[in-house]
Amino acid sequence: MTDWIIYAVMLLQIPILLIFAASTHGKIMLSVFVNKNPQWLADHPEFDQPKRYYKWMMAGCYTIAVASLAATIQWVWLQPAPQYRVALLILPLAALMVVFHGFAFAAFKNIYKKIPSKGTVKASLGHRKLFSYVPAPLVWLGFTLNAVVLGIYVWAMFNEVVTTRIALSRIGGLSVLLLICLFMFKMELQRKTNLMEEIFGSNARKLGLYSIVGAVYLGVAVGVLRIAGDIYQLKPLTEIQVFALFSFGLQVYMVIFGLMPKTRRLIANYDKLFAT
Amino acid sequence: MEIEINNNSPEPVYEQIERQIVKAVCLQQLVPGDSLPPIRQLANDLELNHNTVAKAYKLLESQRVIHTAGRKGTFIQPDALANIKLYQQQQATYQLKTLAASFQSRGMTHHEINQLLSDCANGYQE
Repeated sequence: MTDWIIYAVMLLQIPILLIFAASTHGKIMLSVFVNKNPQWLADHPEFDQPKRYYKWMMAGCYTIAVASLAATIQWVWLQPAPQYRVALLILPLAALMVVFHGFAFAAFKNIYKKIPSKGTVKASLGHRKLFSYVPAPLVWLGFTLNAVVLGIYVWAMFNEVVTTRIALSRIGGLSVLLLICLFMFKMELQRKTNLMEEIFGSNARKLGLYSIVGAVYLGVAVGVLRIAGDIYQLKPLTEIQVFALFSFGLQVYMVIFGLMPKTRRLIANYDKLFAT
Repeated sequence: MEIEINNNSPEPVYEQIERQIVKAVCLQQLVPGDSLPPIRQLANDLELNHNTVAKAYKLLESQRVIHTAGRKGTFIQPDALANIKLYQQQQATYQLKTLAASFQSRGMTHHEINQLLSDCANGYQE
């Protein structure tokens, strides 16, 4: 029974994450960029970079989707290979991250930077601080708990409770997550007020920061599950079940976000601007 | 409190930032101890290169309007208002001296220069 649920999650992530979510977020990102100076864009219809870059990004996503579908059919039904199931869940997402971030970087350089700024630009002189949006104890507790998890693995490694390879992979994975979260805090605080405020209102930044806090606590949750499995040989959830749960949660969020009326309105505006 | 920059103005952007912050201090919209946003935050919000904002902050620091306390941030100096007035006086003195010197080099006397500057100042007041 559980296997079928996992296969369903595996298959559903192809249309939901690789196609629908990629398309939604690509269009939103391009909407943010072109919102820099809509009048200039209207005066320069020959500037078709947004359309071209979006097509290339989606071509990459379709390629990953097709490869993912083929691999899933091959390794789940035609020539079952259970050892590849985690890869079937994770690798398409990892590939999508690479494609999307490459697209974001290229679009920022060749679209956002190329569009001249509007005549006048306003900004607040207020200093945006993390603890003005999220309670300090919540953030400190999250990082402290992660430090405890790291400490437990360091102890376990030096006392040979777990192998060095396992300990280092857990420590490395969690450290990378924490570094990414710190970086994302800074990015979210420093980003300009943009179309995310149009979707989520004035709380957009707060929501973004709370999502990052959620990721910090996700690190704790995964750390606790790993400790239970590695040190106490308790596996309430198998590895594949954890990743399937994560993928499922992500799919639910992406569907809700993508179907929100304000998101649809933003996408409709983008489609009107760059109608093929 | 907001600032606004005009990309089409002949005035350099960093000077626009500096001028508006100085004005805000003079109008007490910014008071000693108030923090200013980090350079990157303001640069992102104004869609500028961060070096442009850094230049504005450096100029304000040289005038002793703000001070940067490293990672703690950038704050309005306790005696910012007095420092602004002192700086403006120094600037005005320098510019007037330069002007007077140029009038002298064209053959005007001290009396004529004094009279001219006095008339201009009175005319401006009216």
